[in-house]
Amino acid sequence: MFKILRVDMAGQKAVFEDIPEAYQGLGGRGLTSAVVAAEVDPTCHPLSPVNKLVLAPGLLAATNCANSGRISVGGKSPLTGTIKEANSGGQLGQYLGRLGIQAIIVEGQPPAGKLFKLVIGKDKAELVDAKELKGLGNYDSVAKLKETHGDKVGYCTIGQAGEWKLAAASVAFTDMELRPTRHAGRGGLGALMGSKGLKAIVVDPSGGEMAPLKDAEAFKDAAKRFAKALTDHPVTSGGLPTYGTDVLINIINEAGALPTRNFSRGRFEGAEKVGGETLNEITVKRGGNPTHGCMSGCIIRCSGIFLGPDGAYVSKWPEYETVWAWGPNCEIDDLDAIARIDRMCDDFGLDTIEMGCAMAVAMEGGLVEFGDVRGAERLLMEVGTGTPAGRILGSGTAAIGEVLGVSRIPVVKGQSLPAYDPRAVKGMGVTYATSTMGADHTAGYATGANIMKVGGYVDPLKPEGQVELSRNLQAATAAVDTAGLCLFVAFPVLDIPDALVAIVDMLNAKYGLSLTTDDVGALGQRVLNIEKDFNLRAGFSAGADRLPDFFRREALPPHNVVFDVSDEELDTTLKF
Amino acid sequence: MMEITIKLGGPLRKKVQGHERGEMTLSLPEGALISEALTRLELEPDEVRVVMKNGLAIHADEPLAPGDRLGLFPRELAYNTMTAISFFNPLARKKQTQD
Repeated sequence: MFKILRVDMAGQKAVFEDIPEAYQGLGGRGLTSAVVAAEVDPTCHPLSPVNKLVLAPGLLAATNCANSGRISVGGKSPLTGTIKEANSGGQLGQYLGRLGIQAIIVEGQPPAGKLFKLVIGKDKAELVDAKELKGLGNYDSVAKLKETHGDKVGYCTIGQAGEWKLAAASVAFTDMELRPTRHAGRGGLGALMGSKGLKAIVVDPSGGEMAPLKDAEAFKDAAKRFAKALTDHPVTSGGLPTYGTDVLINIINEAGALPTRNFSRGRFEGAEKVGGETLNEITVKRGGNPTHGCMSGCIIRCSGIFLGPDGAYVSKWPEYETVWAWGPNCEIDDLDAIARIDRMCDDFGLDTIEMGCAMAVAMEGGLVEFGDVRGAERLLMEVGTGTPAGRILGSGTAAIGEVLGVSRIPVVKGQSLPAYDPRAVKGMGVTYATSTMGADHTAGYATGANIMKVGGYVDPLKPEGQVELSRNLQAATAAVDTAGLCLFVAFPVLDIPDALVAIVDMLNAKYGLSLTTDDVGALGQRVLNIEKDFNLRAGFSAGADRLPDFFRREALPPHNVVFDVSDEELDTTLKF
Repeated sequence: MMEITIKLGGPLRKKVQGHERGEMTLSLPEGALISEALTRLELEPDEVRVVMKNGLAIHADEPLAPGDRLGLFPRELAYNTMTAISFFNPLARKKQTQD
């Protein structure tokens, strides 16, 4: 029943195909990367007709497995020029799974100026003219689409940033309340979608069904064990649903690893004012909901709802990375301002990490003062209105830095670093440098006790052991992304041995396989090898796997450390 | 006597009295150990899964010096491996990886 939906934007045709042998056994990131590596010329311009946009739910989509509805979006990145996968919550992953669609491959380009929506239902798909959506942000786009398609469907849209093909543009997915708050943010995939003239994807799951299972009883048993691990673990059952991912602000600040003022310090005086404890407090006080799932089937529920002082909806809870990028990194200590900015980024369709880093670099370049909320909001607004300054900012951290003559530009392969300073968390630094995606924390953010062969304690301030740590984390993450699981399942997978066994048992029960936990690491390595090979053919040799030089020269207070993992060691990271 | 600073995270703020937004100072005898600071706060070692002294991991029950800062976080906030940082509390009695 599983099919690929191939969409030709030049001929405006959408046809279902059987899944080729080469793509069997892959889902999510594994599948998007396999398709891109096989079908896209690695040397092409990312916005040319030759590039392809691929969307794929994970291997465990449309099942009763908890937290299995992530959707991967892939292509050659308009921001980095490397292969790219960014994944998101929201409803579309589960809906596509229920329709038996394992991937959507969007190729070619329509005549200039044409804009379409792809409308998908049970065994049918068509491209429909969408000129009425031209120039709209994600919130207005969804409101307009609802007039035609109603509220029993899932929406994927791009905002103005995607239409204008800005390299920081994201792809938005609606949550359970049809808010376009979940984003495949990193790497400018919204610009790729915009280059295809594709403004929206509408997925109606009616008539669809749960994925067929080879052994329903075994699946049920394993799904139950997996859910128990998630509800037993204190981080997934207590920390995340109470404080959201923003809980990390105070911890990382305490560790002296919270990048502040464009990566010039490791601690921010205003951290407490923007941390998860404060976020929870003001949310409860204003009658908001701290415990909200970003997709159906989620039992962690870390995506709270942020209300303004007047009690009106502003945005979903800004994630830790968003709070950090626009908060400490820009020296802004105002959660209300950060939530408004989060809403603007969601509406224009922008990666909040890339934009926060771009703003901090713009501040260093003198366009706005550090800590100036109004100035930051005004400049961000220009991305939505499309002024030249706005378009440069929306092209990302490296672009604005080069235009302003700033030398401290925190990017790897053109993508901005996230919220852990690589000098104080060196394992993360290795991941930023060597990830196939450009600087990306999620690329090496998760692990399982059975996969991670690193024993004992790795000092975050010392170079020893970091490469091995990052290698195992990156392989484990690629496997989690391929299964379509939320990355936060990594907490129980790390601490409760049966959680990883339960995941493998579910894969076996769904597909009639006999995988062991060792195969999980092997699956991750297979995906990374596919991605590395694409990048090599695109012209990224080992010399590209480096952090910007200032991380080796400028010591980071309070620990006064530099990044000192050697180049030779970095080059061994993803050698399997 | 000496004074040290305490920073509490998440649910520990409900268990400990006398702090302002998770921060407080504590008077202890010169050379007091980390475990003595926890006792003064009426916290069991198992309730504190992450300990940082001046932003660094501890490896044993170390003596404190005037002006030291202790960051204390409970099991709900034990994000250790996710962030490639390990700040597990060596004073906790239960096995760290089996909550």
